[in-house]
Amino acid sequence: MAEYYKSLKTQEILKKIFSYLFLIAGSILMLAPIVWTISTSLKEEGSTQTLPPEWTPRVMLRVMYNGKLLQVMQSKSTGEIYLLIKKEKEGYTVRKIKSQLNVSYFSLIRETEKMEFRLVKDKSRSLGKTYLIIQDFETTDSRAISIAQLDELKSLTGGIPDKFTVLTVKPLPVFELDNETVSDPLDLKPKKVMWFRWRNYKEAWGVAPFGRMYINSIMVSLAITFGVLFTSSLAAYSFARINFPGRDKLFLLYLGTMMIPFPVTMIPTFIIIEKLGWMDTFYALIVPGLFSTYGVFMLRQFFMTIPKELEEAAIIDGCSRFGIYWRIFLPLSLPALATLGIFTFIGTYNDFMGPLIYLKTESKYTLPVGLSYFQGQYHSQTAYMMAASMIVLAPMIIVYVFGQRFFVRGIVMTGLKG
Amino acid sequence: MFVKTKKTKEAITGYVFLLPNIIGFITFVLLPVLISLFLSFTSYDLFGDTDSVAEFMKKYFIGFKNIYKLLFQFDADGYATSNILCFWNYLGDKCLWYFLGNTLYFMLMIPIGMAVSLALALAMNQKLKGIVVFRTIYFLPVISSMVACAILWRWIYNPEYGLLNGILQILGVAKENLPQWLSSTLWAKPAIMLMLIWKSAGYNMLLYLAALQGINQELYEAGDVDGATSFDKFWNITLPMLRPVNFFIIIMSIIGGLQMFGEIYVMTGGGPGDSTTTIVYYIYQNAFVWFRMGYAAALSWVLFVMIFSATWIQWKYLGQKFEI
Repeated sequence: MAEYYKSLKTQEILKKIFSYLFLIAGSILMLAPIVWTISTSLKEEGSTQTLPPEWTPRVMLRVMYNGKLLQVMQSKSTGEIYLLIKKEKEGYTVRKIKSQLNVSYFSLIRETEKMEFRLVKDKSRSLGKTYLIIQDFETTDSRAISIAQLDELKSLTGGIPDKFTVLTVKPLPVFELDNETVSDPLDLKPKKVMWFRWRNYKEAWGVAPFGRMYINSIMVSLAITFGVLFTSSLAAYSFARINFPGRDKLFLLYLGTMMIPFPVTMIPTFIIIEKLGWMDTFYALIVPGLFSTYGVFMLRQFFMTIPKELEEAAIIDGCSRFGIYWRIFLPLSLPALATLGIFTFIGTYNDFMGPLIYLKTESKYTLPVGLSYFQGQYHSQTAYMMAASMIVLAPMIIVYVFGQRFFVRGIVMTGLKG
Repeated sequence: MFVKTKKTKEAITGYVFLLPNIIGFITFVLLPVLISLFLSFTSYDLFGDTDSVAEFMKKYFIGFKNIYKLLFQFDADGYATSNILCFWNYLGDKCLWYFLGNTLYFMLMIPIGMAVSLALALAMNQKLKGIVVFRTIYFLPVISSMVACAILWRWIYNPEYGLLNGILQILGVAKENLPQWLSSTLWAKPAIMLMLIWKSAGYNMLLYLAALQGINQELYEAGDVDGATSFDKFWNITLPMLRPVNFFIIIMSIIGGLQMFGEIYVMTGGGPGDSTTTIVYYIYQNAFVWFRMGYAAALSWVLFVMIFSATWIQWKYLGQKFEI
């Protein structure tokens, strides 16, 4: 018998290990698209198209040597680092770099409109010397990175250099080189360094009015959310607790319309909005969204569970109907209200069809339709596209990660009651 | 007398409470439904205003012509679908039947997605530590904007430099055999389905998890006493106890699946060669691209009939059987 329980226990442990492995594998699959998006959004446009796919954003390393910008290459077979001097038919003329460069740490020290200065540590040397990397955004080749020894720069300029002093200082070579040799081009690949191009976000933000869209989206979503909470809870209270003729038939009508798919009402609503003169205004988005039959249904079900005695006691105390609704029902149903509110907010924040049909002016776009428009214009610039997608996704993800308890409880509640 | 006035007062209060909602309900739900029903008997095109109802009727009213066109004879004025040589060539609006086929094809993902969600929920139900982390990760796509997700997956499906083909190449698929995903009529639908399973797995997983946690543990203990294996317990206890939630998920998925639109609009625009056009996308095109409002309204009622009958059949045959 003891052995039976022992085997049962091993079985349990095996089950748990298997579950963990399964869940971890699943999580990787779930997160991969999002991580891939973030990674792409930080790449330079030129290095988004790589085969095989690269998960870390990297740029090709080029260095200033004797006033020329030269590409750093790495041998596939030996791993040695070369400076590419000349490309020729019979092979590449290269010079081997004796002291290897192993760039590992970046920190932004200064950024101007045209240039970016980063500190880099070379780990391969025991002293861990620091270099300064300058990226010049104005040159046609945006990968232009020149490296100068900071210690020497400091002695020349007396401190951290600003744009002008750096430009006047002749960039110094940071490595010793062998003599020129000819190498097989097939053996060489460009040496790359990790480089997060945060500017993609800045630039994507600059080409489309995302700030404006955020305000639009949040404004519309908040208005609809509070509107839905107000109208639904009032109606739900009426359906749940007040006796009036035709109540149950009316409620059945409400339930019946929940079955009707949105395309049926989409066309007439469009015509109504047009006749009201609300085309291309926020009224077109907000007003039809204020009345949720689903919200009425959900809150009514919740209100039904509140004990009648509470209400009767309040009536004896001379409380009005509105007082009961406001002071008893609303506070008692905060979880249900939070759920309805959260889902209404997510639904409207992510809503695409409404804004697509009703809005024409770019400055009125909400995030999803703005993003779709952005895609139409910049679809060839993958890094921008991914940065723009992250701009739209990020706020919801952050809110969700911090408030996920509410989200989850809401799902379970609506799922079981709906 | 007193009782009566009290009742009237009560009724008035009831209506007053209902007022804000019912105004909206009438204007944006009930009225549109009636207008839509009416429009489906017209050839209204949104242009050309008429002064009176009589004039409107004279100009636009065409009776059952929309329905007739839709079911029996439709010449796709200027709109050519791909060369589909099949029985639906003889069934009125070829586009509609073809797009209905697309929509039904997309629904194949419902059982696959449910199996994935159930597997995840079963794993999460093992009383593991760190469940919150997993739950957060799996639920993340659910709250994400469909447009952003569609854009993100378009990049993953990029035939040349996308993540998926990159991985397939590493796994040894020859370059010429790589699927073209969204630009191939064969692979566009599975690609969208995969994306939608990714997006909705977390939602259904939570529903399953809640249902699993609601199963009485005594049932399993009784099973242990009878010497049931894990599989026996799963087959004879877990699955039957999950019937209500299965039923809920199937109904909601079918209702949602018949109304697919946003993902299609952003990911493929219905293409390539109409292979991903769904019914709602077709309604959208009719109404807001070609301005055939009347015909679009008729189409939307066809969709309503489909959703209604799908739900009704399930209710009748599955719902009763499972005593829901």
